[in-house]
Amino acid sequence: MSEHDNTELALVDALDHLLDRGVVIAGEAVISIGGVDLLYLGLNVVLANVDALVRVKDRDR
Amino acid sequence: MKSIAIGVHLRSEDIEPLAAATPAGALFVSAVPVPEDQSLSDRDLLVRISGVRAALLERATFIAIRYGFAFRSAAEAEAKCAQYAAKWKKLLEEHRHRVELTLRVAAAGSARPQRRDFQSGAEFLRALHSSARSARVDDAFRAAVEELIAPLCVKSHWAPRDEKSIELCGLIERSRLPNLSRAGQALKARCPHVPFLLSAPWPLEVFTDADHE
Amino acid sequence: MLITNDDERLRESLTLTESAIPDRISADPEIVENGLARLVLAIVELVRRLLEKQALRRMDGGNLSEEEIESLGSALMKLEDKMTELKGVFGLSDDDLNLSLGPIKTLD
Repeated sequence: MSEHDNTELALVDALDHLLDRGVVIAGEAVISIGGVDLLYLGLNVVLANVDALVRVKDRDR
Repeated sequence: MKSIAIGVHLRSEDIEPLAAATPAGALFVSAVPVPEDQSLSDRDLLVRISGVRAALLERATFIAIRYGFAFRSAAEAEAKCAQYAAKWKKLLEEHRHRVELTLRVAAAGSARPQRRDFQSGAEFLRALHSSARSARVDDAFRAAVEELIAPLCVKSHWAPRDEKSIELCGLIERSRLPNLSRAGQALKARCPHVPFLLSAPWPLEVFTDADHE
Repeated sequence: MLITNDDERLRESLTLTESAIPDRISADPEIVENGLARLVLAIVELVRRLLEKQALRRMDGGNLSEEEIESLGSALMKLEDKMTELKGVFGLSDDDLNLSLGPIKTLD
């Protein structure tokens, strides 16, 4: 296994720790389906990307 | 400007100058200020934040905040932390010289249940749950981990991650990290055919819940 | 420290992280137009997967009532049905919606 592979794996591992663990304190990211609250903070990471897409479209009008 | 929160710390000296320290009751929140329109899912930003976290951890142990919380004022940060502040202070004092480790193991799970095979929502969800939690670890490997790694930890427990992996989460004294490194090499030598990834140190991420006591 | 018996299966187990970090969205208007449906559906599929993962975490907690389990499971089934319908409408397959756009760039 090369040094390069290990660096990439370490990076993916670090990002996994960053995105998938930790205390959740921002209550505004509550999504609820079927009447059950599913607190998911990472959702705004995804939504932020949708924002970027909308801005690109607006520039083209 | 908005501030992307990284962690909760006992002292502001634990944070500056690596990141900005914002007082939140008796504790301090570390954060990285970014432009208001900065996308949180930017890969370069994520890599940068990971780097700041690692540097902060070298200074002192902190409680990691799940990525995505961005605040615009100290008042906002303090308000959000208020209900947990007392509990967190206690944890930070107790685990001042400890860090977390994770040992992730690739596991064989069963195939995902197909939606079309189910009529009832409860049956579908139960089947999904059972399938996700059926990830199994090789018995010999588990025994080796219990012998080599677990005894180095103050606390440890196994936790399922998803259909593809299962994980040992551990809380360990910083001073024992060299022992952990040796134990990891021994584990690798003893179980060369089990795909695993042992990494440390990490901030307090899992051992902040009363559930794990 | 990082000690590993590196293996394809291990990398696969970390791929949810990879697919949760989409690569840069193209700013070229033509590409944006043509890829719009695919990108939006890919993001909706990602959200569906994340919601499912979160639902499983609630199941782990063991605190859901029978009604809540039925309600949650039923909503997840409907989400899957909707995705299947949308994929049909736009003529997209599961592969088309795969958000994993290549290896993560390393630090230089």
